[in-house]
Amino acid sequence: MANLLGLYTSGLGLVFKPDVILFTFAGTFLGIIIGALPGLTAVMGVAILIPLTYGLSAEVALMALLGVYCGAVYGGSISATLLSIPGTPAAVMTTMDAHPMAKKGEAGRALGLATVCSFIGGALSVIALSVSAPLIANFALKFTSIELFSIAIFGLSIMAYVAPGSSVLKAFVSGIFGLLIATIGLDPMSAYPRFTFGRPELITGVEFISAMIGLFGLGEALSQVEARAVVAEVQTALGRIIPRWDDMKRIIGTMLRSTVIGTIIGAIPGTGATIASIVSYGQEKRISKHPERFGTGCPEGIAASETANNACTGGAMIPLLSLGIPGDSVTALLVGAFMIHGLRPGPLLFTERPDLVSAIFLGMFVANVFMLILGLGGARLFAMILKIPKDLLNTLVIALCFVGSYAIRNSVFDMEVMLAFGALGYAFRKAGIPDAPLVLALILGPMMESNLRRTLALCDGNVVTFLQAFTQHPIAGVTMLATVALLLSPLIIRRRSTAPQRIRAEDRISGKG
Amino acid sequence: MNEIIAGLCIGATGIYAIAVARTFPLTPAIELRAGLYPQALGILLVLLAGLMAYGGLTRLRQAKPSGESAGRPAYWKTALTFSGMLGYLCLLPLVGFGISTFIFLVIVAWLFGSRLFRALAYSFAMTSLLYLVFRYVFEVPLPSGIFF
Amino acid sequence: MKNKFTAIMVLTVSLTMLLMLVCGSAQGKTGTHFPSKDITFLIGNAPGGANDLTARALIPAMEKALGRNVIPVNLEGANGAVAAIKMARDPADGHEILIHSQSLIMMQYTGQPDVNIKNYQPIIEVAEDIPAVTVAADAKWKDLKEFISYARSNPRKVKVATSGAGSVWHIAGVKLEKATGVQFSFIPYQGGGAKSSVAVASHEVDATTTSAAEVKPLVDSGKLKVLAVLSDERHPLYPNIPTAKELGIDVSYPVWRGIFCRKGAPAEAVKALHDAIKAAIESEGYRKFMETSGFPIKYRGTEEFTKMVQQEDEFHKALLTELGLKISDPR
Repeated sequence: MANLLGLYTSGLGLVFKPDVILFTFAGTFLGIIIGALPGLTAVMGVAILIPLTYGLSAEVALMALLGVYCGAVYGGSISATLLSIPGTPAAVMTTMDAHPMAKKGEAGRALGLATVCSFIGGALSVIALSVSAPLIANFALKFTSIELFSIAIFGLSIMAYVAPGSSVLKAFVSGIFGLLIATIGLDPMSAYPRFTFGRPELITGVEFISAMIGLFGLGEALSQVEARAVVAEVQTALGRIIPRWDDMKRIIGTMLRSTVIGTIIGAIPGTGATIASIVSYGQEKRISKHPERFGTGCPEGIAASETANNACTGGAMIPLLSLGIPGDSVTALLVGAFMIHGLRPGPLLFTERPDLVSAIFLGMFVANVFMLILGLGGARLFAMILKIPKDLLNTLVIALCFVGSYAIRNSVFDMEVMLAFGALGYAFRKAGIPDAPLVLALILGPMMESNLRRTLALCDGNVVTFLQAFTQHPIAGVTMLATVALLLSPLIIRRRSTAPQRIRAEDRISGKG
Repeated sequence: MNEIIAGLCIGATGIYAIAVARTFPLTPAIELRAGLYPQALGILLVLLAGLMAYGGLTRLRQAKPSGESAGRPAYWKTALTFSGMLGYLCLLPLVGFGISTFIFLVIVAWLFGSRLFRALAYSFAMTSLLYLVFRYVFEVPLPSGIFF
Repeated sequence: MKNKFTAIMVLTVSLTMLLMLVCGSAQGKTGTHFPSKDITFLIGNAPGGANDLTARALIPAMEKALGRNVIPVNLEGANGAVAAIKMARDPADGHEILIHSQSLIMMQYTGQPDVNIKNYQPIIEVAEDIPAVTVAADAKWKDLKEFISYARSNPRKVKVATSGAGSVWHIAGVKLEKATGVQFSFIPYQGGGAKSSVAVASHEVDATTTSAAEVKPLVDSGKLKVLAVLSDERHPLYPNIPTAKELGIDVSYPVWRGIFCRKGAPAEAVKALHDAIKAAIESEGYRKFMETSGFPIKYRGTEEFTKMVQQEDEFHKALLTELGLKISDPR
């Protein structure tokens, strides 16, 4: 018992030192900025900082990096809310509801909700990490190719509904087009380069962060430049930032479910915050009584996405600490950070350096607290961006789109990709085709295809064996059933509410309250 | 109208994808051809895009001819912005980040309605700020040209 | 409002000017002999990968030996091809170096004709990464012999995880097949050795021939066991695990990691780089890093390394052709 308690207290001395606290704070702060800038992601932030931590002691270095990690996953929601460009891919789903809410003049409410949900998700996942890491890690190992395939399909199935107000047919055109673009690059099975047009940069596929920035950022800017009438797109009113109690009461269930989903998906090796937020958003939409409100600026949408993507931070640390394998691409970098300091993450760390493991738990929690303080305290500062005159804001957005996509891999080619997708986004807007399904397909397409074809290969290419496999893998089977339920949900909605006017009226009320 | 054009373009992309995917080789020891999945997507895309174009066509027939109310968007501005962006990407490797970004942003700010002096001042500030932040804080080696 | 903005902008601009002046004056030094300026160290993968960490562990001691900054630049894309192509196009003055492995050779045959190995001058080998035949801890095979004899009586039934068709770990598996006359069914897992080892641990596949360092965490967790390593000597991480050769199976496929510069660089530059990197290999920092990361240090000088790269080129060309994975010729 004393031993068990030691796991939580022995790190106190390591964490609560002025320099460690300072670096955790600085890391979190820098992480938020990195996350908020389109093109700079949590992976990049951690990668930039690793070489700078050579000279620091192991605990200071790890705290700074964990701060960047937690901060950057949250920071993406700021630009998603204010500019409608997800700062990191993990904030794609946040954009769907946070930006419409900001458009209604409730930018403060959106920022506040995103911040609090990020904190709850992050903090609860750290608790899960410290209490039941080995249990969750073993559960995560049950997710084999067939489970990952069904998760990808589940995520893809929400593409039909991420764009309210446009037809399902157009959403599917956009989604299938995205899936086709996602096949650019090496074939996952035979390693044959597909649709690469002889460009070596395309061998690893279209860089989807550039694609996302192009579609959301540049596409919008291009359609703004030609607008004759000046429309105040986002109102400058900020409103109350700290969420109201009735808002919190409304989303508490969403937050708890999204924390569970985020933690587990974070713990599955090879997934990450982006997939967690998509799945959680889909799940909440599936079980919601008013699924039609998702995408129009409802608090549940923000909560689902932001809680899940931050819950991934704790989740991804679970297999790293209990098995020594990274849960996502950021923790893969952390392996390197551990090694620089002569440490090997894994179960042996619990016996060799229990104080450090304890410090990681405490430090991540502290980073989440800093994130909450910085997020709520800085909201007014972030929202200054809305006060920038329209012409300059648009210019800044375009500049950020270009520099951000260059920064991903230091390549001008990714800027070209961004421009091409900007043109595509503009064309889509003209034809009334939603762009969100295409982004979803770009994220989930490779995951779906490679896991589908791997599962088929494992079944010796036999379709009957493949179908039987779903009965042997209950998680995959249940996920597929959930997918079917989600796909059928619009039929149910239509039956439940025949008067669309009523919905709109209700929504207006809920928007104010 | 836009739907029909988009449908046709996307459909053409689908057909192109099918044609290219048919040439992907069959690697021994791999069960399924590399081209099978893209071909299936291509067929699906052609079907859906066709449906969309057809939908646009029927709507076009039903629609009453009504004059556009708010005035036609200034398409020349979009075209100019887009060509500016193309030019920027060509210029960037030649003269480096600083100069090309400055020129590009002046044009963009002007197209968004800034006065010339304002556009010049803010573009200079923005270019410097981006250069500083990305080059020194995030250690991104921005393209350098003849001057810096 | 407007005044405030102008004030902020003016401040920013003046700060920028100051900083640019400072940086400009710092770059003023020039010299006559190599290195006459800072060295760029190209890394073809994302930060945090094995190539990246190895390169960064070398840099501190290299800088000391050369008296210049060595700046790591991660140029991701196409599994290292983008970085390799960039180097082949830049001036051959030795101020740009690249860390790479066997895949630099294989790329030219697997769809990257622009990466011609003849454009690169091997300088030095710095490390090895050893394939380990790894199975689940509760698998029925006690040793490599049992595993192979099971695979022999069940052709194409034993599923082996690799990190992609034509990846080094796939080639390691193929070499094991050839040496023993068995047939595996290879299942590709993109995204590094960790994925392959997880696939074995979750019993989705039977075995993997991925890096010994990559499987180590799951071996420590009691999920996996290593049957043998495919190298000439035993692996420092697994002193009790035999090599395949010890068991009478003649297969060894160490994956090397080496430093290259562009062909045509002055001999003086190649020698200076070799000496600096050799000093770095012998440095305490590098040795310690290699110990924790589980990659054995391996030194080969310029001449020996160049010869080996040539032999490896011929070997991989023939093997990839045989496997049907050769789809391009270098140009």
